[in-house]
Amino acid sequence: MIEIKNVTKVYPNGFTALKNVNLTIQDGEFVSIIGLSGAGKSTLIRCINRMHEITEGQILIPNPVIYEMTPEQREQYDAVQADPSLAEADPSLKRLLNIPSKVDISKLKGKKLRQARKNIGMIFQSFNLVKRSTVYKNVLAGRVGYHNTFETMFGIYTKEEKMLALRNMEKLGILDKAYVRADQLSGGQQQRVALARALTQESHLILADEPVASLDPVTTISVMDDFTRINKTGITILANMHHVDLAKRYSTRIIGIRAGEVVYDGPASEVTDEVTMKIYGRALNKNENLGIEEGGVAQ
Amino acid sequence: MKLTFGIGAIALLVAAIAMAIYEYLRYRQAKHYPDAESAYHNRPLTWLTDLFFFLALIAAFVFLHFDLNMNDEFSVSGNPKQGFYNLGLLFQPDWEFFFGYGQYQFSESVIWFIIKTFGISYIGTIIASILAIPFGLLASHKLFGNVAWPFEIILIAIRTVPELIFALILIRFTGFSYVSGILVIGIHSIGMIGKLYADQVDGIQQEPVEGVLSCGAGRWQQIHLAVMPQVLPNFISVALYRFDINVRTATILGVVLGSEGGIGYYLSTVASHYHKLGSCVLGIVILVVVINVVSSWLRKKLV
Amino acid sequence: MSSDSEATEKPSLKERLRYRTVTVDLSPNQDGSMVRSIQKPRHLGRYLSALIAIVILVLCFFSIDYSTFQGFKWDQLGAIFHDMFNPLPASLKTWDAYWSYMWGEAIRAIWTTNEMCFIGVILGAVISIPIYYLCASNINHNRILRGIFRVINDVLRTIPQMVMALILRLFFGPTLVTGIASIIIFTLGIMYQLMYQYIETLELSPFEAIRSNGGNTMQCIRLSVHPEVQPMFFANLLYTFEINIRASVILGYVGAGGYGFLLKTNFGSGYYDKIGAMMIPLFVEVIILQIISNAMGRKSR
Repeated sequence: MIEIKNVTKVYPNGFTALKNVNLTIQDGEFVSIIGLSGAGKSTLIRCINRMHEITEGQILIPNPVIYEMTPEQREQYDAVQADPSLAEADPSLKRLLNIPSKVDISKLKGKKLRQARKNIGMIFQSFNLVKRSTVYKNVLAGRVGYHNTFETMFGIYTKEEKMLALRNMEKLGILDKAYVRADQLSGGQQQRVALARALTQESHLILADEPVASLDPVTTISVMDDFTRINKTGITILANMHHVDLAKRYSTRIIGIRAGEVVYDGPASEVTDEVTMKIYGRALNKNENLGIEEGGVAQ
Repeated sequence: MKLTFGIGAIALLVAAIAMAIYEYLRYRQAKHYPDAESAYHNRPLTWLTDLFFFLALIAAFVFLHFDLNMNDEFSVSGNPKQGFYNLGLLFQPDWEFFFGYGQYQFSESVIWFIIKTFGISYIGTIIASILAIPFGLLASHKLFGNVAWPFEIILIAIRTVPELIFALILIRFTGFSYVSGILVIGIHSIGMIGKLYADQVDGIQQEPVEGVLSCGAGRWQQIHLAVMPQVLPNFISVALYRFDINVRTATILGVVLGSEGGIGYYLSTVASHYHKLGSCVLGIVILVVVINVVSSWLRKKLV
Repeated sequence: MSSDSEATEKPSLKERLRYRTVTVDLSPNQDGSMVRSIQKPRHLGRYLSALIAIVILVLCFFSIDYSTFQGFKWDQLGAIFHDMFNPLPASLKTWDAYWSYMWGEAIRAIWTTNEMCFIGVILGAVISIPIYYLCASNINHNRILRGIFRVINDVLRTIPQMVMALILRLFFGPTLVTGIASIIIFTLGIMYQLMYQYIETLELSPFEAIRSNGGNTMQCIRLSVHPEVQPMFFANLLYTFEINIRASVILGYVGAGGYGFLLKTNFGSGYYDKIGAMMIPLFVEVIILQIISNAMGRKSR
């Protein structure tokens, strides 16, 4: 669960990108953020894993320390958090009780911040792959948070990690391209590589910054289908979208942003023309949609 | 022993290159893998190639260590303690020698030799930057197509001969005189300036050239009306940049050309008088730094 | 009209230095119906700089001792090349000796120089790797640290190689160690200048991606920037090697051995044929290196 509390972001040039944003994102949701260009969608996404600093407020994320625990520890921790009286009976659990279940990512530093980022995958509009490296290496780069600097320098990964990377590629249908240089792939394939990288990271939240904005409609659909499949495995997805119909069809919840303020927050099914009017300032024309219908792309 | 490492280095290098080529050919295109397991077993062995390269490098270094008798070289190379003492002497320059008073005349002072060095590089650069204009234009593939090849080769050939060898050859022609210095700088920098000029000409905007062409201009009219106005500021910038380098080159010419070649003469004659050497080094550093600062300032203003 | 009121205003001195007011008749048949005053730039700065350049040129001629120049020895011009590429009776005597000198001592001297350059360039380049990442403004955002390394770079590149070799000779004496050390420093200066300027032109979006995966700066560099700059690194390595081969002629004059030392001895005794025999292999090597490094540099850009 991610809680965004009273977040305000002012850029150094004085532009206010986010104004007092309050959101709570539950585990397993597929949330789309829609709004005009420059409304603050990207800023919001990037503030969550702190690629941007926020000016005011808090972004509470699950404490990364919890994810570093062994399964037994985790079990004990959950039990103690649920029932604090257990700690009185067993003093050794007192330490676990004191570990907060949530931390404010905007206060984290250095190693703690990197641990937090490790648990948040991110996908970019321009894929951000290392063009001269192979697809395999690009996907394995998702494991970077699990290794120290020395191991990364010499490219040391365990067999399980390599298999995980390859299995993720298989899942997304890019296994055949595994050892090809990333710049030889088409746009949709490159975005799948980025997706595989985020999956290999084994995070519980994936942030997608306009993941399909530079793809053609057909590829968009298949990439969005991939997102849905990933979402079904229990990973929370928070995506920026340009197309309202795409957001309505794939996501469970839609957040509308206008000039840095949340103007709509509710289920995707309830997005009506009135709502888009509030978000975009006017009703959308039919030709402004991507033009998807059930079962494929309309001609 | 020595030979083993030499042959080993070559063998490892060949193995590494063979590996690299094999892997390249094997993974150049997408291949079908039925499942992740088989893809895992067919992954490229990049680490092995890297290891071969690394080992080849190590073997080569061991070979070179023995081939150059580095043990002996290290044993006769002076002790660092003495080195630091001598370095200290460099920082106490002989001011009489530097400014040319007391037991030295001004005409044998470091300052005067620095001025000479500057003069040689300045005159040489001006000559070179003017002579390089026709070479630069003719070596441009964009303007002259295949006609540019012989000129480009001439420019490469000029660049290839080290300055000192050039000086050694020219001494027979012009004697131990300032003319040799000017010619060395002048001719040698045509090679580099000409190449940079040609790069500039190749990088011009095509539209003005087409505009002039559509008015019925000939090739040389094109150059005069459309090419030169575009590239002239860049040409001056290139010449200034080269002047910066030529000043550094000119400081060593005296080693070969004697007292008329500038400060290099002292570098070779007073190398064991550390106070005097210190004043020479000071003079050179001042000259080079001043020219560097002035030339980069002017270049910034031009752009 | 507004142009009249502007014309009556007296321009400032700075304006007058920059522009000159010219009255022209713009009417088609020059009947004086469309007389306008326009401002023409004077380009005083250009003329002034040209004047300064010429004055410096003239002053330079005063620094010359004209008595040393005894005219061009035109007869020598052909003789030099004849002497260089023919065995002389004073030294090599026969063609056999010429070729065997070329294949023997000349090649050996070049080989030694190559070995020195190889060691120096590899070590210098390896040392330069961390430094060029520290110098690139898009990777290292610490302005002070970056400034320190850039100043060191400027100092390294400013000092002529011969001066550097002379200073190093104080420590290591007239040995190969001096030569190799000065090549290392020379390489370091060139390499990290070229590389950090190249890195600054790169787009660093993959860097951001790896950072969002939870990598620290070193890991981000290793995984995202390093693969992108690797080809350029090798192209620059070869380029630096070629420069060093040419520049190491000087090292012989400092006593650091190699090609230059043999050249100095031959020149001292006037053996021009030996100089010629030494030049040919060097020429061939440098041309080959230039062509390869040109091709590599062009390809990896």
